[in-house]
Amino acid sequence: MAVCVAVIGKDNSPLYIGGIGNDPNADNELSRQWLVHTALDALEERLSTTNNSNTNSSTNTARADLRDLYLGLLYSTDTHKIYGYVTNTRIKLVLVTSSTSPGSNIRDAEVRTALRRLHALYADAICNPFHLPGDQITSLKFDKQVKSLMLNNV
Amino acid sequence: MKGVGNSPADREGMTNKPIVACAGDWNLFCTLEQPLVAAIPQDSCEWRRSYGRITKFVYLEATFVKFNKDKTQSDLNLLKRPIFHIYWTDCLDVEYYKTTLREDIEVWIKHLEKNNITDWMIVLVETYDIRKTNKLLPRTTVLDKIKGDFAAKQTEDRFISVINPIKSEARSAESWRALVAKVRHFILVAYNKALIKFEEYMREQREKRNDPEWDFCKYFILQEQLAFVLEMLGLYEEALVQYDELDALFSQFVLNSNIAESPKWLETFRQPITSWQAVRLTSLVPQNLRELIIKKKASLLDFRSYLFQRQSAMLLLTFKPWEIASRCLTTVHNTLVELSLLSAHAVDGAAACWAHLACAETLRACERISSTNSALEACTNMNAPLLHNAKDKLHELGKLCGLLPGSPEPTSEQLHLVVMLSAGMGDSEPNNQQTSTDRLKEALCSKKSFQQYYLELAELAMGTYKHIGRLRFARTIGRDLAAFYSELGETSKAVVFLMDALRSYEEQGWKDLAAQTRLELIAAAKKMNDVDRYAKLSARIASTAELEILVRNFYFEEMLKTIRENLADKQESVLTELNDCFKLVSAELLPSERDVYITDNKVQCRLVIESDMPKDVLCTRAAIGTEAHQDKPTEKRTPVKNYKTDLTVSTASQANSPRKTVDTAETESNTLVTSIRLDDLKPKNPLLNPMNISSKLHYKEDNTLQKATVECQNPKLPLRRSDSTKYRKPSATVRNSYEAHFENENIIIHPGSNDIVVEYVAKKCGTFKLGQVSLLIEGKLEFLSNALIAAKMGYEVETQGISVYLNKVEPKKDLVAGLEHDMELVVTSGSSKIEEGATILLKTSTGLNIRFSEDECPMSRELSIPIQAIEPFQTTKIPLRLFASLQPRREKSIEHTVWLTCPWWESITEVPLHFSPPMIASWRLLTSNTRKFIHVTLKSSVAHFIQFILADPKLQCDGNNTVSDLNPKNSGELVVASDGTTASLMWELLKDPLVKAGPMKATFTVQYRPVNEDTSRTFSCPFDIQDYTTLFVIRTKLEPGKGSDFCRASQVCCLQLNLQRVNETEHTSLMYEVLADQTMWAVLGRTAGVITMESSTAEGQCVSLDVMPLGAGYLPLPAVRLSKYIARDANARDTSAHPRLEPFSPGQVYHAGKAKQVHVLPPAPKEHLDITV
Repeated sequence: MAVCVAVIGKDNSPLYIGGIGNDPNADNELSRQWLVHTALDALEERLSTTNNSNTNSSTNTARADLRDLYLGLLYSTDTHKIYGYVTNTRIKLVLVTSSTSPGSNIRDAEVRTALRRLHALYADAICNPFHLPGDQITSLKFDKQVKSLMLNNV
Repeated sequence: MKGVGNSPADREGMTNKPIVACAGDWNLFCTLEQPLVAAIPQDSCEWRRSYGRITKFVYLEATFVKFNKDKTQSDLNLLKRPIFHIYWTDCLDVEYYKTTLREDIEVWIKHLEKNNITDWMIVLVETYDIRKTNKLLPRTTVLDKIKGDFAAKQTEDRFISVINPIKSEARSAESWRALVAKVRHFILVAYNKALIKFEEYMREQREKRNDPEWDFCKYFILQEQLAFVLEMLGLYEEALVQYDELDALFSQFVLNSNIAESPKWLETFRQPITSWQAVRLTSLVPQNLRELIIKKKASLLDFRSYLFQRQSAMLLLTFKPWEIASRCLTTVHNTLVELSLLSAHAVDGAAACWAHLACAETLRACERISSTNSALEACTNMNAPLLHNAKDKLHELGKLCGLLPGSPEPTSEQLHLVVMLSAGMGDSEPNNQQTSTDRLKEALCSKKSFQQYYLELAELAMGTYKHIGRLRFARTIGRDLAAFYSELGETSKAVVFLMDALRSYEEQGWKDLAAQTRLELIAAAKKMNDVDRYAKLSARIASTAELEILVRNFYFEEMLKTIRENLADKQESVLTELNDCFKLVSAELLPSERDVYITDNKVQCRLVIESDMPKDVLCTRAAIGTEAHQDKPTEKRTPVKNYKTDLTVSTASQANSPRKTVDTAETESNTLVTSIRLDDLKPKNPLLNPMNISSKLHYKEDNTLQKATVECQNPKLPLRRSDSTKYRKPSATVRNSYEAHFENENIIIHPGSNDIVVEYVAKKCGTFKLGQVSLLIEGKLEFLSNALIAAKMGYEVETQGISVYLNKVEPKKDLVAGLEHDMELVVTSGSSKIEEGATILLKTSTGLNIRFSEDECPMSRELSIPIQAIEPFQTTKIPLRLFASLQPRREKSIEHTVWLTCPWWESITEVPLHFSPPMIASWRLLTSNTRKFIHVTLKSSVAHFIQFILADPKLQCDGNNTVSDLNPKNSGELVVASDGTTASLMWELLKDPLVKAGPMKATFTVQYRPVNEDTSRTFSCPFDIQDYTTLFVIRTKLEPGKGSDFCRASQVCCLQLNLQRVNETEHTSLMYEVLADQTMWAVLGRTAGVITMESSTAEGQCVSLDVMPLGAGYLPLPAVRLSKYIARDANARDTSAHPRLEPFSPGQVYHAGKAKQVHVLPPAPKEHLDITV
C-alpha cells in the first residue's frame, strides 16, 4: 500500500505531496516529506547513471532506456520503500510504500502500473489551461484521484 | 595457470570435492593417485549440459576413495556419494585375465548396474617395454579382451590403457594426458546426469511445499546441495541463484503467513531469539548455523545470517563486494520486517544489534576485499547507506540503553539490557583485530564510548554521502547530528548543520521541511541564549504560513517578549531580512504639486507591504534610504526658452556645469522609474506567451487527406530552456546608510496588505535613487530589504534658481532703433527667497540707453535696479524704457548688449538685443541731358506694422553744389509704413558748369515720428555722388535707305549715330557698340567701332550703320553702348596685352535716343516712308 505520493518539479521543488495517514505518529506527514526529499538524491543518481550509460551504449539501447520512465526502487528504510518515476520533462514522481503494514508485499509491476497511472493523472491535472507548469498542484480532483490510487493499490 | 595451492579445495572448510571410487588393483592406484589428483585441476574442461544450458569451462578436482560395494549411497546425496567409478588393472597377461580378472570386473560391473550406475571406466596400466614396440603388435591384448567382453556400443571409449608414468615418464605423457582428459570428461558427464536427476527430485519436493508436513529446513538442505555442487564446480553465480531462490521462497512464506494460515515448519523460526551474532563474511560454510538449521533449532536471525553469509560467500568468490553491500541492506530490512511479521520474541534491541553488526561486518568485508579502485568506488556508493543504517541502529540501541547525551544515567534495567545484548552478540574470534562486535560492545559500555562511536559513524556516513553526491541524505544525517550535538550541549555545532540543511530546503522550495528545521534552530537558539537569533527566528516562524496558527501565535508572542525583555537595553537594533516576514508589493513615488521635486519640499513615497505576521504589529519606523544616483551631475537645467522670451536670459544658480553633462544627466535621469510593482520585475513566465500554432492538412498526390497536423511555427521559443532559477541567498543583512532617508513613524502594520507613506524633505538637489527599505518593529527588530536597489527607482530634486528675464512689453513687436521702447525686467525667485536690498545692475552698450519708465530722469547707460524682497515662487517686474540711438548708417540691423549683474550670480549675464532701423533711404541720380536730379526713396523694413509721418526733408550738399527742392510744398504729410508704403523725394542738382565736378557728399535728413507719437526725431542718411557730370550725349536716328521714303521691314535702312562731347574729359578714345535686338534688327556690317573725340564740337561725330528692321510696327531703336577704349600699351613688354574697355558711370553718358521708336511699315512695293520720332 502506498502511503505517500509526491510530484516533484524539474527544479526539485515539491509540486504535490499527498499521503494517507495510517501511521500513528504525529509527524507523519513531515516524516514522509523527509523520505521523499532524500529520495531525490537516489533519483538523480539514477538519472545521471542512465544518462551516462546512454552516451556509452548504442543509440538503440539508449532509446530503450529512455522509454522506461519507471526507475524502480530508489531506496528503502526499515519501514518504507521508495520508488521513483521520471517523466520526459523531468517531472519526478515518487511513491512511498510502507513495508510494515499488512499486505505490504507489493510487486514491482504493481508499483510500475501505479506510477504510470499517476503520470496519467498528473498529465490530466496540468492539462488545465489555468494551471501554470511549475506551480504547485492544488486541484482537488487530482488530490482525490491520487488518494484513491493509493488506496486501490493495497 | 591455476595451481593446486590456489584451488578452492585447499581453503579451510571447503571439503567438498567430486568423489571417485576406485576398484581393482588398489595398490596400483595408490602409486598413481598423487599425480592424478594433481593433474586433474590443471586444465579446464568443457561441460556440456542438457536442456540447452550454457556450456561452461570448469576446473575440476577430485578425491579418490576405495570402492566399497557394501556402502551404497542414495542418488539424492550429491556430495557424499562417488560420482564416478574406475577399475584399475595392470594385467598384461591374457591368461591371467581369463582366469581371474575377468570375473572380478564382471562382479564390479554387475554391482554398478545394480545400483544404476553408468559412469565408470576401466583403466589398464601398461609398463612401457622398449622391446615390445619393435615387434609386431600382439594379436590380442588384455584391453581388447576386456573390450570384447564388456563393451557395448556406447561404452567403447570407457576402456583405456595408459603407460605407467611412474616407470617411464617420458613415454607415458601422451597416454597420461588422454587419461586425465577422459577422467574429467566422464566426471562432468556423470554430474550432468546426476544433477538432472537431482533437480527433478528437488522440483518434486518443492511442489509439495503446501503440504502441511513439508519442511522448509529439509528442503533448504536439499537444494543447498545443488548449490554446493555448483560451488564445487566453480559456478558461483549459479550457486548464488540457488540461494536466491531459497531466499525468495522463504520470504514469500513469511509474507504469506500474515495473510494465510502459516505452515507448521514456520514455528521453528518463531522461537525466541537468543543469539544475534555478527555475520561472518568469509567463503567458509558456517557449519554451526547449518547444524542448527538441520536440527530445526535455528532462529530467524540464525537462518538469515546463514543465508546471507552463503550468498556473500558466492559474491566474495566472484569478487563482487559491492553486491554484498547492496544486498546487505535489503536483507537487514527484510529480516526486520520478517521479525515483526513472525513476532519472534527477542530482547529489545537484539534486532538492532544484529542489523548494526551486519552492516558493520559488510563494511569491513568490502574494505577488505576492494583492492582495485573501481571496486572501491562501487563499494563506496553502497557503503553510505550501510553506514547510515549502522548509525541509525546504534542510535536506537543508545536510546534503549540510555546512552544518549542528555538522558539520565542508565537505570539498572538498561544496564541489564546492555549485558543481555552483549551476551547475545557472542564472543568474537580470538583475533588481534578489533571486530565490529567488540566495537559495539565497547560502545554500549559507556556514554563516552557510545558517543565517540556514534559520531564516528555519523561523520563517516555524512562524508561518504557527500562524496557520492547524495547531499540530501548527508543533510538528513546532519540534522540527526544536530540533534545529537544539541543534546550534548554543543549547540553551536548543531546550528551549523541546521543552517546548512535549512538553506538547501529553502533553495528547493521544501517549505514544510524548512519550517521544521527552523523550529529546531529556534530551540537551539533558545538553548544558546542567542536572543538576536531567537527574536529573528520567532518573527520568521510567526510568519510561516505552513505552520499551525497556534505555533505561529506562540512565537509571535515570544518575539514581542524577547524584544521587550532582552533587546530593550541594546543599543543597536537586530537586523534581519525583510522578505522573511513581509513582502514588498510595490513602491511609488508620489508626484509633487509642481512637476519636479524642489529642494526643501517633501518627497513622498508610498509602499505597499504585505505582512505575514499573524497579528498587528507596531512599526516604530519605516524608512527608505536614498543614495545619490551615479555620475550625479550638479544638474541644473537652463530655464526653458519659451516663445515670449526670445530676448531673455535666464540662468539657474549653478549653471557652471558644461552643457554636455547636463544633457547626459537628463537622459540618464529618464531611466529612473517612479513606480514599480515588484512582481513586474520578475521575468515573465514564458509559458504564458501565446504559442504560434497552426493546423495543417497534408494531402496525398491523389488529393486524399494524408494527415492533419498541428504545428508550432517557432518551436524554439516555447521550448527554450529557461535557466533554472538559482536560489539567491538573501542579501546579507547589512544596514546601509540612512543619512538621507524617507521616514514615517509609529505605524500599525496589519496582517495582509498595508499602505505606508514615507516622506523626506529634500535638502540637496540632484538625482537620487531609492535604496534599502527598513521596517523597525517594536523599536528593536529591524527588517531590511534591498529589493528596491535593483529596481532603479529614483527621483530628481531641483533647486529652481532665481531667473531674471529682460522682456519686451509687446513681445510681438521688433525693437526699432530710434524709438523708445517699454521693457520690463522680470525676476522670478524660483525655490529660494530674495532678500531685502538686492539690486541688479544693468549696463548697456554704446548707443543704447535705459531708464525707469516711471520717473522722467534722463536715460543713461547704467542703471541700478533695486529688487524688492519676495517669497519663493514669486515674480516681480520692473518696467523700463529703452532707447537705441539711430546712427547715420545704412544698416539692416543694429546689435546691442545689456549686461546684468545680479548679486546671486557670480558671473555677469549678457543679453543680446537686436534692433532694426525705422526706415531705410535709397537714392538714385537721374540725368536729363546735362541736368542732374537726385531721387530719394524711403521705405520701412520693420517686421511689425508701423507708420511714420515724415516732415521737413532736406538734402544738403557739400562744397559749391546746391540743390533745388523740387518737392511740392503744400502736399499732405508724407507717410512711410512697413506695409510697403514708401515716400519719394526729388531734388535737382545745381552745379556750376564752370567748376570741374568732383566727388560730392550729400546728406539727407528728414523728421519722422510714429503716427501715434508727438516727438519727432531726425533720420539722416549720408551718401556720396561721383562722376555725375554728363560727358557725352548720343543721339541715334534711323533713315530710310536710298530711294525710299519710309522705313520698311526687310529693307536696309541707315542708322545714324551722333556722338557729342558736352564736357571736358580725358577719355577721348571711345568705343561704341550697337546692341540691336536680334529679333527686330539685323545690323549689316560692323556693329562696333572705335572713335576719337578730340575736341568738343557742336556736331560731334557721326557714324552711320546699315540696319534692316525685321518686322513692321513701332520698333525701339537699337541701343548704343559707349565705353572707354584703352588701347594696348605699346611700351608694354607683354605682347599678350589686349586693348580693353571700361564702362562709364551711368550719369556720364546721356543716351538721347533711348526711348525713341521708329515706325516701320510692312514691306510694300509702293509705299511712302514715314519716320516718326
